[in-house]
Amino acid sequence: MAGTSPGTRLASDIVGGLLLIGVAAVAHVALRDIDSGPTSSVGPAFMPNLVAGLIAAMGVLILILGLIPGGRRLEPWTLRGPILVLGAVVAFAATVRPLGLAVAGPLAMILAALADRETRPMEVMIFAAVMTGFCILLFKVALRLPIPLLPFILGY
Amino acid sequence: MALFFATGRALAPLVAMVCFVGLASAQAYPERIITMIVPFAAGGATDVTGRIMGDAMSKRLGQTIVVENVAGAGGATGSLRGKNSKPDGYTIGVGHMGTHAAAVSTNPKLPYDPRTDFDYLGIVNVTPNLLIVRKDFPADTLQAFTAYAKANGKGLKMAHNGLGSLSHLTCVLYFQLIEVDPTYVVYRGFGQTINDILSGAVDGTCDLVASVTGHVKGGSVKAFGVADEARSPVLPDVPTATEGGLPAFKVESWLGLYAPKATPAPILARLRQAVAESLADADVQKRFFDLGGSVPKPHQAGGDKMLEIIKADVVRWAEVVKKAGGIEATN
Amino acid sequence: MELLDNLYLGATVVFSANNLALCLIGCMVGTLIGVLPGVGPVATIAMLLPITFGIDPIGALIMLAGIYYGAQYGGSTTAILVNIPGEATAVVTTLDGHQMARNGRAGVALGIAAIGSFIAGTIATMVIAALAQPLTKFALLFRPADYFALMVFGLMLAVVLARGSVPKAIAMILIGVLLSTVGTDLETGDERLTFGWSEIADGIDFAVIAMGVIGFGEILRNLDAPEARVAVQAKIGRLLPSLADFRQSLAPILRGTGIGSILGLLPGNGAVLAPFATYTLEKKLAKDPSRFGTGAIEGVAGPESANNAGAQTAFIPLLTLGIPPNAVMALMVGAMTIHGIVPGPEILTKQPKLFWGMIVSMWIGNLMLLIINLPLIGIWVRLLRVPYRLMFPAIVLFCCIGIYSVNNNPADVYLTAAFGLVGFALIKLDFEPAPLLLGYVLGRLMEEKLRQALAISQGKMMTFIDHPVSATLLSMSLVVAFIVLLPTIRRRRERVFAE
Repeated sequence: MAGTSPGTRLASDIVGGLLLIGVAAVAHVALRDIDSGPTSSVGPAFMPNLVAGLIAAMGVLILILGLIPGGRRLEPWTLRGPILVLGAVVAFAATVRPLGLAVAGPLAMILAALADRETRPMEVMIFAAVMTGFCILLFKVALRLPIPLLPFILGY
Repeated sequence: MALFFATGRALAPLVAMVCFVGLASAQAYPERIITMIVPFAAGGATDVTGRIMGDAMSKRLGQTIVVENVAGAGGATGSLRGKNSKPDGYTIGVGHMGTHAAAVSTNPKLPYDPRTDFDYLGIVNVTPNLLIVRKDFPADTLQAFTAYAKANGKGLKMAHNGLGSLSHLTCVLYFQLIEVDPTYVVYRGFGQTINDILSGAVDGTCDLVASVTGHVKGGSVKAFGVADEARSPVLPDVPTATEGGLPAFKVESWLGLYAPKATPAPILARLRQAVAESLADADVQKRFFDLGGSVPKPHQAGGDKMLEIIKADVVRWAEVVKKAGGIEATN
Repeated sequence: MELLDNLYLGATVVFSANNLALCLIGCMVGTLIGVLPGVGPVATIAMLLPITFGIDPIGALIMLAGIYYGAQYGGSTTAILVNIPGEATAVVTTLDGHQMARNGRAGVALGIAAIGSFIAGTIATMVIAALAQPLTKFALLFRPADYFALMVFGLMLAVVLARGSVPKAIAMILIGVLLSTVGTDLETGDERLTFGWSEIADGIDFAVIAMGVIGFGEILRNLDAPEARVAVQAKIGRLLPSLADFRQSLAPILRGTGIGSILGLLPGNGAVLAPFATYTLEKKLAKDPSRFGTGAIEGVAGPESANNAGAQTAFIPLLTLGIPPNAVMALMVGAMTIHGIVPGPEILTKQPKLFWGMIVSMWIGNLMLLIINLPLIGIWVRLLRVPYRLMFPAIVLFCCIGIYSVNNNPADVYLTAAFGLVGFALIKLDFEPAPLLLGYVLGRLMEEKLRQALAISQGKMMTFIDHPVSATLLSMSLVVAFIVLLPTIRRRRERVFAE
């Protein structure tokens, strides 16, 4: 797995190790105002602080191992997928209560579909409408989940 | 699909108008499903009571009442959702002594004020609290337990269901009265608490009669100190706190329904009527009795009485919490 | 012979047209919601509670129980086909189950999961029928200190779960534990690691992390590497396990059943550990452990059986003690109380029809599930032929609805998107997500039990050593730690010295 992709020279373990150390540091700072408890009993900050410390230790270890030559290089990645798929999820979250499933459903599906270059617009539109209808029948009618359907018109 | 949206948009004002007209005349209410917000997880005492009421009320209102469990922050998340929902009678909610009275003192960040932010439909269920201890605990009466607590202090291990929970508040009140500071062991909910009482890892807890009936009747725990004037009809063999020499130990947990503030008067009246009729239903009374609670006594019934009781309980728990040196921020 | 009389009593209850129909409905609904990512038995049973108002209590409970163990069957389907674990117990199934699907053995994986679950369900039901009462004592043997030790042991097993680097697996477990501490502290009310965001004041839901890190992470990986996903769809392979597959799986199924039955008994939701423990055991027993993680059938058969066995024996603390061991059982308590049955030690003596009726219905239900699920395999496998460009937006929609329905809260959906990004980064940086999820599941319980144990012992650490259960578990943890760490350290040293 020692593939060297062009443009990425950083070993993935170095990045991973640094990220772990970063997470531990953020956690430690966020916990500074909370009591670790007296020695006889365990306070609310005891466990998270202990774990953050261990994470930092693991981060250092992984970082050192990453410095050994021959480790796996960081692969290149594109941002199109994450932005559109996760954007679709965020759009669903933002619209489901004010606009309802009938709007949020197709919106999320179409946005997500844009993440794939193979997507065909008409096909996705029709499929999104059909799937939303299916989900309404399934979740709203059959399972009776209290999810808003089209509140600005139907009131629920 | 584009067509569907176009028609939807064209129709929207029309439909909205119909809805508005519908709302204006109380006769038409309710014309669609009513949502009941339960601020705790499904299956708990609050949820079960809410569902029984929802079922009974929907028969009287001629509309389904759907329970929506919005758990979190000791009931504050769901109650906030209830406060912020549209006051059109299509959202009502469940609140109890914890969420709508004690929380004012136990949660400094409480995002609502139970004294001003809700229109109350009335208390629907009351259940006294009591003490239970493990089967082999060396005390059979409240007197003996009090004596044991005074002699052992921190050696007494009392469990409760989480910071600011009704079981916690009840324990705090009891131990304030007898001036003892026991060791508290905190659990996530009654299921975990009762487990460690049955296994003998902790000594006991304070909780609602409704929660512990099965275990008391089954003889797997000992119970005493029912915090009410009279013995609970569900547990007639368990003596009251007054019988145990501590008449000041009185906690009756109540649970009631609310609508968001500024719900139109005719709708509010219709809902209150449905509550009153449901509470008069023999089947509802029997269900509550089986659970260890009862419908409110006459001096507790109705929306106005509920607000009075809330105001009194807010003051009462504020004093208890203050005396305890603050039950730290429950949220 | 008393046992036979009791089972006969149970059979007379179940074999009415009404109750059989309710059992079938429960199993079908359970399978359906198990398959749907995010929509778990808790949300469904909560929504179905009002419907049961009109049914007699035994029928209602038979149906709700069917939903519960039906969901365990269905959950493995999603884990195998699209790598989304809906429940903590399905995390392990994603490891080898989804790899089998990628190798064109989705049908075999689904088949062995269904058959294993049926065998496990049958044995576990017999265990409940014959031994429910003596086993009750075992359930009460565990004090908080013992649960703490059990959780430590579980975390040690999580290291074995990993196929890659041990330090990375440990780091993932620790991140999971750290995530489990997010939220308001149970004892003091302090807000920990919430960064002032009130939506996570109650902690982060398991479904949010699992669906974000594993589910969305998987989608993002597939979009990033289009070659990989074509390979899945080209191969469909056989629909049912062959005799050789079955022979290979029988011993893991039986071992999984044993582990699951025992851990299911523990009221503190010990059942979540069962699939992990079984997976670890199978990996250690295997002649070639490197097959695990690339589609080993034992890695599906064992944990799936453990999962289902645990789901059945979890009824013992509920029915004999009135203690609900997990959220679903807490709902069953609610369902009972709605019907005027007060859970407690009296159920067995005062409601023998209910007790034995439920036990017999569980076996019937498992049989029904096998009959429902085997023909469905063909349909599920065919679903894999849907072009990925259509499949993934549909999965995104199902996940969104599922997560929203957990707490009816859009904030959970936002959080899942954030964890999707985490999952993508983990894949890119070569970290495995499964240990993170196990760390999350066990972490919260571990901390709570640690603090309860120390409160009870008044701060004395000896409490973990002076009781046989915790002492045994802690020493077993040490042994596992050595087994795991020694070869790694040796290998590293060799590598370092070779440089």
